[in-house]
Amino acid sequence: MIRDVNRAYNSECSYAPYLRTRTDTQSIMTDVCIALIPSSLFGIYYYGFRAFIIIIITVAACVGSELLYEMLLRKKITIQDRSALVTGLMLALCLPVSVPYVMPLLGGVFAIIVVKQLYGGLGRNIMNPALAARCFLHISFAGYMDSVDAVTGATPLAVLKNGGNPPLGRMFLGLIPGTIGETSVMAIMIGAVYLVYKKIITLEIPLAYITSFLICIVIYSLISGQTISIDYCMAHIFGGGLLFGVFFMSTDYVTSPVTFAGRCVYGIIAGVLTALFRVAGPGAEGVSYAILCADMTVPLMELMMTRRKEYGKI
Amino acid sequence: MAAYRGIRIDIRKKLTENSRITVYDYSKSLEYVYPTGTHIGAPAVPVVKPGQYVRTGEVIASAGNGVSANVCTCVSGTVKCIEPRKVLSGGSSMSVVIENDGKDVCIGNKYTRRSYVDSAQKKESIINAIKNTGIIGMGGAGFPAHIKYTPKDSNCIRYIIANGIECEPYITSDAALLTEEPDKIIGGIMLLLELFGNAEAVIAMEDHNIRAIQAVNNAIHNSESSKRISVKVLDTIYPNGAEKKLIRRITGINVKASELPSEKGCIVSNVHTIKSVYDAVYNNMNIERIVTVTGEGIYNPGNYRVRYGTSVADIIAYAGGLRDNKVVMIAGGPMMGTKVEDINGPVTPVLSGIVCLPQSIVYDGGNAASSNCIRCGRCIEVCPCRLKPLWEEHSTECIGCGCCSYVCPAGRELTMSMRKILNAE
Repeated sequence: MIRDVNRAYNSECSYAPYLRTRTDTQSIMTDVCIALIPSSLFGIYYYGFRAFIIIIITVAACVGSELLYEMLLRKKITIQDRSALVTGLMLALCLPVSVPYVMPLLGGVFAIIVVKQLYGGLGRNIMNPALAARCFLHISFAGYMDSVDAVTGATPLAVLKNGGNPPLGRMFLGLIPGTIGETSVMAIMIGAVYLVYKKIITLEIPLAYITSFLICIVIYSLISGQTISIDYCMAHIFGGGLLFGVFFMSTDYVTSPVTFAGRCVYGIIAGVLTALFRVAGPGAEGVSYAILCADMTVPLMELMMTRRKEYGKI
Repeated sequence: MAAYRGIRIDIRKKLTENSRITVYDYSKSLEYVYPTGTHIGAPAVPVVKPGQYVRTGEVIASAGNGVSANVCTCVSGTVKCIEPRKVLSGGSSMSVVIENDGKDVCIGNKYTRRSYVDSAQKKESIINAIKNTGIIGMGGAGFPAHIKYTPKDSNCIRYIIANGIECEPYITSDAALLTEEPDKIIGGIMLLLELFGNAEAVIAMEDHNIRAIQAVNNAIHNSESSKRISVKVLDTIYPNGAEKKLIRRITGINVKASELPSEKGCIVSNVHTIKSVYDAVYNNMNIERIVTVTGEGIYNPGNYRVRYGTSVADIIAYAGGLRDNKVVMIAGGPMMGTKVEDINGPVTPVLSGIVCLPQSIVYDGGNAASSNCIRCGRCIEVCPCRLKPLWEEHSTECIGCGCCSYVCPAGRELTMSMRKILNAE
């Protein structure tokens, strides 16, 4: 239910209803940006000024390329809906602080032009632009995205794989090596709580995702003989950018299904794939590829939902 | 996931919910206009000629073939002309125009209480009274009541629902009627219970109507037949008052788009219609209704008792006038009503209110034009008919409530596309 204050509609247009909600695309995107502020601030605090520069470059690349694209192709300018801003911020928070500046620039341009605009603009893309750009950078600049592991020491997930005990407390606060915005669980959760409070996201995707992920991890661990403890599960949840992916990336409206049931299925697919990539693959990129794969099943899922039994009925 | 979907909106009834009914003096207006096509079905055929003298309550246009209803005059005077006149929505309808002589000479009372030989005769005389006075559904649709109240088998009707929900924002005409004249509504329900012997009656209201609920409960206790009448209070969600949704909420019966409520044993009527039944049977009159003139754009918002045929321009002037010339007037509620294109149009039985919205509360966020669908799913979440408006699909189930357009962040005209598809079919 949406509890709202009305606005009267622009009277030049003569269609009922003449009252509309005050929430529009711009206000939703602004709220998402606000929810990302805690993670951004933490990243800047922990990694320093360079993190701030990377955020600026990514956001400028995204907004700038959208503006340029729309101007060159004489389309309606849509940068004021702030969706490019959100994409830029999300992409920046996925990058390690040590990346050369050309990567956020290229990533931003790729995210907006290739992943979003070439598919038809806002609302038409199949893959999450920020995630797809992150994966593009991971594939094209393989060494640089993993540089944090080599330079600053083992990430908690690597420790976990080797059977060690990762520091949960420091993972919660974010005082561990990783990308700019994905490490501080506390900051992510503040943002997530804000999004739920503002009714931007609902909890079916996060719950489906985390639950299915945990179940798969537990099953794998039982099979492989690893000891399972609460700490072990928490470490898997806190690490590898999972919570950032769960609350910010997978809940993106455009790339997730529109109905409750669809979203639960989507969350489960993403959770299972994340678990699979994490245990079978070497790196910490499991989350982004899993969400992208789940994104790609969404059009098929929705095609199945709109199959009509007879004309005029759904 | 709530079982009953809709939107919880700021209903803004505070402007008029405590206003006592103000009677608009019928003698102030010189001309009364009666369109013949207000009701659903075939237009009525005028049976008077220009120059003819008519009395209050006399039939001036009688029902056409098939589904149709009489039109009666609400003032006495001479027939000025019979010509197409503009109605509020801007369209044109053949209308009988009466010049008011200010004397209000009535046709007299043929149907007052008298002893009936048997109940079938009483039922027939009730239906005749409804038919002669031309009562149509006053909740907004305008379906001829005498046809609605004569289903194939009246013994199969199990529920009579008096719809006092009035879920549209701003409008308080049903609420005012329930608060100040509940005894007449109860009287009308008693007459309907005579028609449908196996039925029980439920008066449905929303929980914000505290005074109305109290008044109705008192009236039921004071009447003789409290056994067959009950009150059901629903929490305030738009669109509670939609006929088929209301039936589902109160009785649990699901009426599909292709079915009529009477086929499933339910009859839903607006409380105004029921009160008109009372007036028709006991006074042989169906001449007035409460019209809520409201909104931040009018000086004296209130609930006005107006006779049909009065020019809306006169009512607006009586209510203090508009605050400026940029005010948007909507006939009916702001969610499903129509914009008033010609303010001189007449008051008809289906006009529940005029909402005057000023430009100052028009949202000017810069993104007023509709933009790309962001697939947020809010329209699906709120649709009371469980449709998926974002795909703007054909569906006969759409009731045109406007919830989808209300919540759309991209400002897309979802209701309009659904309605266009419906109208085209």
